[in-house]
Amino acid sequence: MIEGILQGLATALQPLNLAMVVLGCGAGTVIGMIPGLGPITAIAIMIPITYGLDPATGLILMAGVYYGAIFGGSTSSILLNAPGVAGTVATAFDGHPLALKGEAGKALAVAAYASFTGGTLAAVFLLVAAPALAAVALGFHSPDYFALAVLALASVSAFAGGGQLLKAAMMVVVGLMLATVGQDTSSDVPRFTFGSVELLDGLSFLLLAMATFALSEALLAVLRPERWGAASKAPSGLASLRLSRSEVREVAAPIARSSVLGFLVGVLPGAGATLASFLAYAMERNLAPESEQKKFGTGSLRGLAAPEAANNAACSGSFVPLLTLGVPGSATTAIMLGALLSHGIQPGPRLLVDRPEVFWSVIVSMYLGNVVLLVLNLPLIPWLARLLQVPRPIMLPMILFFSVIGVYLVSLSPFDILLMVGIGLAATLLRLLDYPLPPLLLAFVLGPMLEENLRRSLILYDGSFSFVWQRPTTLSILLLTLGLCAWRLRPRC
Amino acid sequence: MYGEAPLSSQRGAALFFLALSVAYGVVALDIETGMAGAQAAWSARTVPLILASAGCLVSLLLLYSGNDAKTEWSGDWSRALRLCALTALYALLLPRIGFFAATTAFLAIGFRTLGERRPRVLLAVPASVALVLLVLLRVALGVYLPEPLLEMLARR
Repeated sequence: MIEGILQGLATALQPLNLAMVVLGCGAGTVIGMIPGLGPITAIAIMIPITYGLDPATGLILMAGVYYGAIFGGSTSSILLNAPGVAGTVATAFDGHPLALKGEAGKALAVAAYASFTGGTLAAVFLLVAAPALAAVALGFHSPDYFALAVLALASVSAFAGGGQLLKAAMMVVVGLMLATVGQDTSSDVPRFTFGSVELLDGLSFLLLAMATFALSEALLAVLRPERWGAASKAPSGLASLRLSRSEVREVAAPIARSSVLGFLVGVLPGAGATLASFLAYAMERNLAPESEQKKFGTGSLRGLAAPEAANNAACSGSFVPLLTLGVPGSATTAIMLGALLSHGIQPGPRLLVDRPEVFWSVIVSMYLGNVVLLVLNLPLIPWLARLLQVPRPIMLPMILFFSVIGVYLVSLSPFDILLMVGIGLAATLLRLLDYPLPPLLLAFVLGPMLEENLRRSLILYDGSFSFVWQRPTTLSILLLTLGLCAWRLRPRC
Repeated sequence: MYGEAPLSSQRGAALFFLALSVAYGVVALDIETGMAGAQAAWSARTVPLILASAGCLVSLLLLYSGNDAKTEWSGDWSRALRLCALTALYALLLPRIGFFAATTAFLAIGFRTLGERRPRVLLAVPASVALVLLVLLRVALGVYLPEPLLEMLARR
């Protein structure tokens, strides 16, 4: 492992890669600060840029963007009470009241230190957990991968918000349907192309990501101007970024506990940063003395530090199933998987064997990303916060333009932009109807893997589904899936 | 039936998904099965048919789940649709008039559509963004961008 870490360090510390971490963190912070735009959009916008780069460099850029976007989301949560992403909603509970008390600088500093510690501890856990899980996963076969894909899809539906379970399931089915458009990989038979040459290669993942997130977000901001209106409420000053010794002592233990919790939750497919941050917030409120409990929701430093540490740790944790099994556990890691595949890299247990420089440099770059965020971005926050004052009539067309040109630069096909507009409009309607879109994107990415492994399994078992009960690993994963669904559907008193 | 609430948006969406799943299944039945034939353990239509069935099942569950939550449809739809039309127009004009002209026009009209009135902003910002990106992408990164208008002007 030491050799791998050194290899990762050697790759990540190359001047170009180091510059990419800095650039990624900066760009991610800027994009993540814009209300409604989170890591998914930030990474999607960066994908076309990575095409011209070496795979390891491209991934390092995207890892930086990921962390930067989460940090940027926390900034808009604290300053505006407008979380850029769901994972930073809990940050606003105590972060924004602190900003309203004139302690925005302190709140941002606590968020940055908690994120740094959470991310760093999780990167260490990842160093240990990922190779161990990869070694186990080397024994996996097609039926097991099929079962894993089913587990990931069931999990993302099961963890959908209240009343959204069936809607999430519907989005999974629609995502899988969209994944079947184009030539069948095994038989080359065209499916659902309706004679269109442009559809023979299937729908572009980037197009779908941009349409469902960036474009629909811009359209929703036009339909619901109040989503943007919060910018006018930004506190004018940040005050001091310094923390006293007693304040550091107060947040140290919650940060450590929440980092461990966040990492473990992040490893679970579908759970992700949002659940981790809410669980950490609830855990710290329950653990706090009664006098401290009353402060939660009114500007408690513990209440701010816990979700921040947990959501960053969960981000690192979500890389465990992606890097070791090739199964993304969240929409963000699904985007990363799409980007990896477009670079010709297949994540999974073989990644550590075949492309160790990619595996280790991504893990090391996560740590570097956290350092960059703390050292470079925190002092820049007062300036970056001015971005929130850019008027809506300027910002929205720019977002629209960058998402459109990102798709166009990959294919140079106007057809893709037209398709993107259609899908973006449909996505906007679905969001207004409260349908969650991350399951759609995750299903679209997992669709080919699911189909290919089901095909191989059926051929291996002479067209019979007996692999479900004949292989203990497959059976265990599918029973876990059933258990998860049953738990989610249990009657509540 | 008299006096019952009209079809809610949520049920309308469920019905749409049901129709979509049925249509998807019908088209899936037309997918060629190749040499192996439809009775083989696997064909190109296996997964689409499973998905069509799953889609019908989930949409029926959605339809009968009793979710009649009201959807807030109000908003500036005219502006949103104008932005969509502008994006579609951008797609069509980009290969014909080139990146610089199309992007400048797209951003200027986009700013104007969303309420920006200052002529300086409407002209200077879009042209600067388009020019900086053109230089960055085409000169620095070597990315191909169609520029028929600028190339024609350069030839003259």
